[in-house]
Amino acid sequence: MSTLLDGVREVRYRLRDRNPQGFAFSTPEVVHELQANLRIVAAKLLLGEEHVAGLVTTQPDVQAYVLPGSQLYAQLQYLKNEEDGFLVTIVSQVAFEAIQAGDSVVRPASGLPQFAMIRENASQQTEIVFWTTPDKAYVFDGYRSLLPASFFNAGTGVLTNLPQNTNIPFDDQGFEAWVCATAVELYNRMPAVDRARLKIADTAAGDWGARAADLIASSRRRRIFQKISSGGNRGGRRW
Amino acid sequence: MALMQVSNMQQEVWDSIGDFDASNRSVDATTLLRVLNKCYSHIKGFEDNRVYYVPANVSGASIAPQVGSLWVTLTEKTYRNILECYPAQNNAATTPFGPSLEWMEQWELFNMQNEDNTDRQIFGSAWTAWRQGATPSSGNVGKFNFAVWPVSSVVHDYLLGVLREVTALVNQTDIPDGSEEDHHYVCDMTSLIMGRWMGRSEEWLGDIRARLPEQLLTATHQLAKDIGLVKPRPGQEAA
Repeated sequence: MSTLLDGVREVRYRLRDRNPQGFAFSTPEVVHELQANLRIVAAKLLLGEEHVAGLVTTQPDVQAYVLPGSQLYAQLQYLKNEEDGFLVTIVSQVAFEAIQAGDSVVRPASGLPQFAMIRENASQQTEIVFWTTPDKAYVFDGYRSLLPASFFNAGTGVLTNLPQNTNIPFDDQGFEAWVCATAVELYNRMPAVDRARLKIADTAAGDWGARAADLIASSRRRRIFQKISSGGNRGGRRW
Repeated sequence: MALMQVSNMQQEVWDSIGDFDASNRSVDATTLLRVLNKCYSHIKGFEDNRVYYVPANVSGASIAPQVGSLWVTLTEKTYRNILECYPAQNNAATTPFGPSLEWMEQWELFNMQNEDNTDRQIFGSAWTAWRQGATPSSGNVGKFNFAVWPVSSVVHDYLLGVLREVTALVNQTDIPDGSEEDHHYVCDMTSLIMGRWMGRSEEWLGDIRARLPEQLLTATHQLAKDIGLVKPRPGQEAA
């Protein structure tokens, strides 16, 4: 897996901005620009999934729960009751309210949850809401994708981890796309005098934007093939 | 041909201006050395590209920067400019212990110290240096201040690559710190001055002048600064 340090280095190579005695862009500038583009690229990729045991443990008569973790949820795909192994069906908010309609608000139906919906609260926490309202403690496992964590601690500019310890949760194509997109932005901010000093052509960034889009498409195609593969004889790649 | 000592340079000037009588010089050795030094300093100001590596126990570049104690004042007063900074294994090391630190402008480095003041307890990755102001009589004239980021509560040593102010030639065996070509330029510049002082004809002086490049003739009247291995940094005036 690539790190933030790799990202900084790749961007610098593209811009030929490699002399630490006279950088056109200082490293904090590059890191902030990488972070901005991380948001954009991450939202376009099919990020990796993880199975989390015990994602939610219910309490009697509590309907909504904040999902754990400080990162934004890109997706929650499955929710499985540890006790019996059955899936809780995750439905849209409209469908959920339709299912719930007619249920008493003050004395809601309680029991083993059958359906759930996902919502994001005003603090950007992801919540899961069950119907029926749990009547006791159930433990649910989940499959989730998380958007990348911020490089910086909230409210300060402090790097959470050193660049070499900050993993970028992208595949190779996604990583290259991220670097290309960042390099385009920095290149466009570079005055002509810096371009001349770094001996980089005026046309250098011409391909990078299109390449970033191409790489994102490649990454998504790879992940889709991976997800639909089923042993080899019905579409997808053999794994 | 070889690099010249002071005695060789004095002889070359005497030959050049026709001051042949060793027992009765028109220009005595002491006066000649004084003018040689003057021209030598001009040549160094113009041509200096020789980085001298100063260990931390000489420069004073041992620092544990923290908020409230962000920089150190270097001890030596003989740096024309500081071009490079490397981590050093100990305070006597004259070779780098790792890749060079990144140059930052003072304001940006202070911003980063303020923004990210995490005590990383590792070598800095960015450095800055600036002239410390002083009153003429304080004895601190010429000193630099030096700071790095990220901050660390552990003292680390740094190896500095500097351009030094000119050390005056004193002994007959001293060799000016320059190329052989530079040495001849020093002699020709000196000859031009002393030849005129002796009252040599314009034709005679014209022969000497013809040996000096135009820009060096101009530079004789200037103190050119900051010509080194690197281009002027952003925000720094060219010579």
